[in-house]
Order: sequence, then C-alpha cells, then structure tokens
Amino acid sequence: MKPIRAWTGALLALALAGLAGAQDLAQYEKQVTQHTLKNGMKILILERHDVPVVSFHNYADVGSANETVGTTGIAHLFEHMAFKGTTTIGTKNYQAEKVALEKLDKAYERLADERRKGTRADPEKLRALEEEFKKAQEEADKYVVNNELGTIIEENGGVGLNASTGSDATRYYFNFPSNRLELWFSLESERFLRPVLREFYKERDVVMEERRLRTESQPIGRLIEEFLAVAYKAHPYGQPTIGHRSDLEAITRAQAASFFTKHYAPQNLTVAVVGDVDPKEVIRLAELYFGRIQPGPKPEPVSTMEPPQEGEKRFDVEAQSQPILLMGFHKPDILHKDDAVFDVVTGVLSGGRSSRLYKSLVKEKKIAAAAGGFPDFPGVKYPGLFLFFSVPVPGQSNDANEKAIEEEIERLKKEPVSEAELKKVKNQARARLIRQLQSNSGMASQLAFYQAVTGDWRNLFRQLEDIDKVTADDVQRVVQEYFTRKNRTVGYLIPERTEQGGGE
Amino acid sequence: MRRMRLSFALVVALGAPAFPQKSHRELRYPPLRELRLPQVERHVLPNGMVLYLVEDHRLPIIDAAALIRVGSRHEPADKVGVAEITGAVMRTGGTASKTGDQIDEELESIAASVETSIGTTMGNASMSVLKEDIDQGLSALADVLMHPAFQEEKIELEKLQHRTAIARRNDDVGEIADREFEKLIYGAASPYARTTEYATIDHIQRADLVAFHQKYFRPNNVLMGIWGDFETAEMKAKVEKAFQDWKATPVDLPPVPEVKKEWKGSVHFIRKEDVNQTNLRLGHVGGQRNDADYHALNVMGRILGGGFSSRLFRRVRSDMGLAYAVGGGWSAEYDYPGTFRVICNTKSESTVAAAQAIQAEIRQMTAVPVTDQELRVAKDAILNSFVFNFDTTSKIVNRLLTYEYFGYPADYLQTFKANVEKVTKDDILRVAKQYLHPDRLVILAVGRDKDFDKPLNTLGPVQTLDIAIPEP
Repeated sequence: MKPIRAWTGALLALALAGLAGAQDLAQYEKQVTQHTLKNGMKILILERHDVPVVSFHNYADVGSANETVGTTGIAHLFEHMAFKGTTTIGTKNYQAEKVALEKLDKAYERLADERRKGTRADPEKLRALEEEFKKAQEEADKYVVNNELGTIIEENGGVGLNASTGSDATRYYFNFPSNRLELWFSLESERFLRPVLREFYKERDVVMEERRLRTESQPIGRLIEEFLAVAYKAHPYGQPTIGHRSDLEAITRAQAASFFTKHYAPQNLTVAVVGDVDPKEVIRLAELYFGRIQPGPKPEPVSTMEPPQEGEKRFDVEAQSQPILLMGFHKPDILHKDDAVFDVVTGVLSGGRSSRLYKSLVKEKKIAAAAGGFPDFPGVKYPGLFLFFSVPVPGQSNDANEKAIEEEIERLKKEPVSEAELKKVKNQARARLIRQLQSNSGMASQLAFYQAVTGDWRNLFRQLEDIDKVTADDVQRVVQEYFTRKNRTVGYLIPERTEQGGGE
Repeated sequence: MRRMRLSFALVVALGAPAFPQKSHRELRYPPLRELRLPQVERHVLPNGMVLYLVEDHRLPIIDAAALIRVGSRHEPADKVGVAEITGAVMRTGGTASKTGDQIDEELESIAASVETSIGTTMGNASMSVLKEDIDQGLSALADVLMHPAFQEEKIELEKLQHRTAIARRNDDVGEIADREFEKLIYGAASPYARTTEYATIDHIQRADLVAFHQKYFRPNNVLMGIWGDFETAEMKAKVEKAFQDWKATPVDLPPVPEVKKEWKGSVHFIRKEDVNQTNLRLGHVGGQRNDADYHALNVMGRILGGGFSSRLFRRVRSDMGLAYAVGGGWSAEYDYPGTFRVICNTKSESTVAAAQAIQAEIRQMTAVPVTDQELRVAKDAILNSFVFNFDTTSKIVNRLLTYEYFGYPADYLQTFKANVEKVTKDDILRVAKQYLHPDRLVILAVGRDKDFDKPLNTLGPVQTLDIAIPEP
C-alpha cells in the first residue's frame, strides 16, 4: 500500500479503465459516503438496497501493541468488558451497583496486596480477605442483569454478534435487519459513552479459559506465542494478544477502565455501515448518538521500534504433536512502498494449487500436506513478519521442509518471475476484491480497516493499482532485500524428546 | 414570571425533558421493508439433471453449486475414505483431455475455481468465475464431473493427505473430543462416525474410485444451481450444451443407513497429558428437521445453549466464569437423527463442577417451564433475524437445492417460521421432557485427570477410551 495520494475522479477512472470489471469497482466507490464528527470519530457508509439488512463494523484503533509491561491482554480483556453493558443496560439499579463495585475494587486490592507477599503472606489473613472479596462480588452481582446487551441485540434479530482483538486493533461487529438502524446507534454509542466494567473478575477467568483453549492446551498456539516472543525483542508485536498468564491474573478493573479512557476517545474509532440505509439518515444518527461522546486525549503513539536483527534466530517448542515449521522474515508496515510487492510475492508463493510452495512441497516433493505464506503477521500497522509455514507429511522432517522453502526463496532471488505468473496474481487480486464486494459485513470490515490504518478508505480500491504496477524486478529486489538468513526466525514444533534416550 | 415558573413546574412534573437520543426501551421500529426475492427458474434438462437459475447482476461474477446423490455413508466399511478420495481426485486427478496440474494452472490464471468433494450425505461440486470466463469455467466443471481421469499420482497424493490427517488426529484436543463423541453417539462403526485408518486407505485402489464415480455421477443424480451475472435463457443453453454428452442412467441408491436410537447414560474419559483444560461433550442421539416437534426443539435448544442470552452461557460462562466456550442445542439433520449436544471447555480443576452445572441446566429444562421472557427472546431472535436467510443469492439457491435433495418442500423454511411463531411454554416443556434425557447422557471428558476437581466417576462409572492410532 502506497501512502495516500489525492486522486481526482477523472484520474481514478483513467487509472482503473485498463482493468476489466473496473467500472463495477468504480461504481462501488461512488456509493461510499464519508463523514467525520466534531469529536473526531469517522463514519463510512456504503449504500446497498437489495436486501433490508445492514452490517456494522466499529474499528477501534487500539490493540495489544498498545499494551505496556505488566498489563498484556488488557486490550482483549476490555473487548470482553464491552459486552457487559452500561449505566443503563445490564443493571437493576446503577446507583447501588456503583457503590457495590467500588467496595469490590477495594476488597480486591486488599486481597491482591496480601497475595503479592507470596510465601510471606499470612494464610489466615488471605482466607479472610478471600471471603471478603467473595462477599463483595456476590453483593455486586445482585444488581446485574445478565448479558442484557447481547440479549437486546439477539432478540432484535442481530446476527454475527462478535468482536475481535489483534495486535493492531479491536473490532466490534454484527448485522441487523435495516429497520433496527437507530437501535445500533443507541446501543453502540452507549457502549462507549458510559461503559460499566461489571463482572470483571469473573470475565477475567473466562479470558483465562480462552488462553487455555487457544494457547496453553494447543501445540500450535504455543508455537505461535513463542515465535513472536523470539522474533521481537523490542516492539510489542512480540507480546501475546491474549496476554501473559501472570498479567491476566493481576489486571485490575481500574486498569481496564483507565485503558478505556486512554484508547477509546472518539477520534480513535472508525465506524462502517454497509447495507440498506440512507447516508443522510446515518449521518444524522451518528451526530445525534456518537456526537454525545466528548473528544478525548490523543493516545500516545507506540514509539518502540524493532531494531534490525543481529542474526538468524531459531528455537524448538516440544509438544505432544507431529512437527510443524514456521519461518518468518521482518518486513515493513502497510504504508511502505514495497507493501504491494509483498502481496504479489504472497500470490506467487502461496495462492492456490499452482503456487510455487504448493507445487514444490506438496505436489512434487511430497514432503508437506500444506505449505504457504502470510504477509502480515501479526499486524500491518507496524513492521510485521512475512511468515512461512509447512505441515510435514508422516516420516518427513521440518528440516527437509525448511530446505524446500529455502529453495523456492533462492529461486525467486535468482530468476525473475514470469509475466504469466505476475498476470495470474494480479487477476486474482482483482477477483478477490470483486468477490469481497458480495458481503456487507466483509465490506464494512474492509472500509473501516483501510480508513483507520491507511488514513483513506479509497486505498481498498487503490491497492489494486499498486499491485498492478509491480514488476518482476520489484519481486526479485524485495525477496533479495528482506528474505535473508540474518533477518529470519525459524521455529520448529517437535514431538517431545525423551531425556533418557540422549535427546532425539 | 408566574407563567415561566408554571412551565418549569410542568416540565418537572412531566419528568426530565425527553432526550432526542432514545434508549433501546424507547425505540419503536417500522415494519421491515418487503423482501424482493430474486426470480428463480427450475428446469429439468433432457438428461435428467435438475437446474436452478437465478440472475443477479450486481457484480460481474457467476457461481455454481451442484449436489450429487452420493455420500461416504454408502462406502464399504473396509474402504472408509473411498468417497472422500473420489471426490477430491475427480478434480485434482485430471480429465480425459487435461492433467490436474493443467486445470489448476488454467483456472487459477483467471482467478476461477472448480471444486468437487463428497461428504457424509452428499456430493458437492462448485464453480466460481468472473463472468467473461463462464465458458471456460463451465467446461471445466462439466469435464471433472463427467470425465475424471483419476491419475494414479494424484490418488497417491490424496492418500498421503489422509495418512497425514490420521497421524495428526490426536494433536488437537478439541478434534479428539468431537470425533470420539460422534463415535459414542452413533457407534464407532456407524457411517456417521467412523474414521479412515491406515488400513482402509491402503485398501483403496484406482478401480474403486472409477467404480464409485461410475455408479453415482449420472446427470439424473445431479441438482445444479447457477447464479450471477447472466441471461437465463442463454445460460440454460450453455449448460445443456456443456452436459449434452452425459446420458441419463438409472442409479441404484442404497437406503439411508439406520441410526440406533438408544439412551444409556455413560461416562467416558480420554487422557491427554499436555493440556490444562478439559474438553467436555455431553448429549445423546437427537432427531431430524422434518420431525413434528423440530421447531419447538429448536427454540428449546436456543434457550438452553444458543448465544449470549442462553442459560448455559449465562450460568457456566458469565456467572461461574468456568468456560470461554460453552453452548449447544438440538442440532437436527435432514434425513437421519442428529445429536443433542453441549460442548464446554473448562480448566482441569473445574471439570466435574462444569459437567454437573451443565447436567443441572439440562435437567431444569425438563422440569420447569421456561420464563415468558426467555420464550419471547428466543422466538424474536429467530423471527427478527429471518431476513438473513435471504441476504445472499447463494443462500437462496443452496437452500432450494438442499430441500429438493432431501425431499423437503420448497416452502419448508416458511412453514418452519410459522410453526416457531406458535410455540408456547407448554410446548417447550413437553418436548424437553419427551426428547431430553438428562440422566442418560453420554458424557465425554478429554483432559488431564490428575488435576480434576473431583474424580470423574462422581458423574458415574467411567470407561477410559484408548485412542492410540493403529500403526500402518
């Protein structure tokens, strides 16, 4: 993705004219309306009246990369708390609940202080404090209307209700029948106008279960967590989004609340509304509901940068599992001029049964059941990794797979890719975008993403143009520059070793 | 002055001035705009192939989906895998005129796809192309359906994929739980639960694939739907031409395998040492979508375990903090009994507590009527989201194909909706009592028993299962 340029409509039409189906794309571009509220929040609207439904996507420009030492997992934990309601949703009596919650916080603080003493803690006192905490929790729970927010959404026909947290962003999304447009504005604005972090400590346990599910009881999850930790020594991309276990055990309600204040100011939110709506009405409702939210402080930028790697990094994770191989190379962020080249590299190496890695490792050498590469791991806002993976077939090693991937990389360095291959990748990029347009929720997600991360939603369409300009020389240059031994991290998932047998 | 005070008093008396922003309690909604359903044409081609066509000119794309009356449930027990391998190699193993690699190259260079597969109850084929490439896409689709070459090399490659899956099938604890639970519900040898083994894969020869294809892949055994940016008459002519050499031949379809319906409570354990969370599965054999009580069971299942508003989510996740993943319900099938199931992942130290909490919720469902609020929320959720059954042309076409495939009426969904509207609290209690067996559940726990809160036999006598993979 290239940095944003100001294109006029005419230039745009000219630039896209060479592509078949481009008119359809240009047509879609014209159906997008953009609006910015005084408080800085951005709204994107794509009108489509075929079916009376509408998709919403609220993109909060905050992710685990914004977390500091000791509070990893807090962005994701807050995402869970955003389902717990507000001062008017999820409570039987907020005034009384507020008092109970303050009591609960104090009880938790006392308990945490004693626990922090570790072996020097007084067991008697711990028991008493635990009892006190339990009582305070029960008291606060009396006022809770369980999952009221989710229930309101579901009973009104909301589908696909969910949220996700990554290194770069936290996203909240679902779909409504289009006659519930105003309800979305009411609920979503309340959610970020006056959230109440109720049932916090129980939800922290739920998140701990999510960590067990995705990481601790999952060999591939453990491999990925280790991979990021090894590949990054400075930048927070090395931190697990789900959070370190001990951080999750220690995060307090107050910390989550302050994380919210810091990162959920309206200028940090980008909303996309796609479907059967009138843009004027959407803007009116956005002003009315989200306009209530006061502008907040600009969050501190992430200033830590990952220094150049000093040499190859390599590690094993032992697990009760068959082998898996990961190999990653540091690369620039999405605004860098080479971003589109990486998209093309991905297509050449990893776009289907005729791509180079599949052809070599799966079809010809028959050493892998699957092999490929991703260009944006774990994010794109900051310099991430180009990640290769391979799943060896029985009797084949990670080692053999690593060599086979290296061969394909070396081939790209030595021989320019053919024009036919380039054309194939470019055709695929265009078709992918056209197919994305079929889905309201997919478009909502893409528009919000491009606006928030690149500063202009039009880059969703513009990326094709950048990809179209990529030459065989670009591919060769980029592979030579970034896919070097010094710049790489290699991780092996291997079956557990038995110590008696002398290693292997 | 006095007047001003009066008006002030009035405002106070009438309550706070109304905010222009409305809460969810104050909002009222206009009726949903009427749905404009696309025009669907159904044809039977001279060779017996059923063809649905739907024009959709919004984007320059054309898609196709075909259902073939076949399934792995019809494959012989000593060759488990033959259906799946046939489905895969039809596409990868080339045709009479092209190698599989050539087809890969040609389709991917125009960003098109043609795929085939065979699942438990049906065969599937699909095509997706940019509209200008329709002739090429259609000809590839026809070619793989009619003239697959089953190249030996690609058969071996597909067998290798299966051997890899077998070797890796105990690496993921959730996969173990799902697979073994199916075996407990339907029986390890049942066509609805059995798995491939090295031995069954080794038995499969090219001749088996050829015969399997020959037997089932006949035009009169195919339902096809095509939707996208085309003119109906023109597309019909194209399809007729592409499949004109495919001649109707009677297909002798084996009967749908029976499922033994029995409810014997049992507790099972699979040891997995490298996890700190237990995968729990609880349930028993269920029913079909055309059962008279399906709509009531569906609402009941939703109240018990579907979504944020369900009892299991509320109790086990939000109140107890015992799980991230918990839920379930009455998942019915079209032509054989589905499963009533609840899934839950909880830390080893709360295994028995979570299982008991779930069992208690199931029992409660059969003992006490649901509340008015629960019934209203569950019904509203189904009825208000009904429009999402029609939000893509793909959903509309695939549903019509599926209903015809299983012999359901085309208006099945409308009938279902009308029946959901009529469901009462008494209905829910009645079907829960009749169809749920909380004291005769199959319970499976996969995890590290050393760390369990209580011995698993608190739930009943435990059978430990061996899931060691038989060597090749």
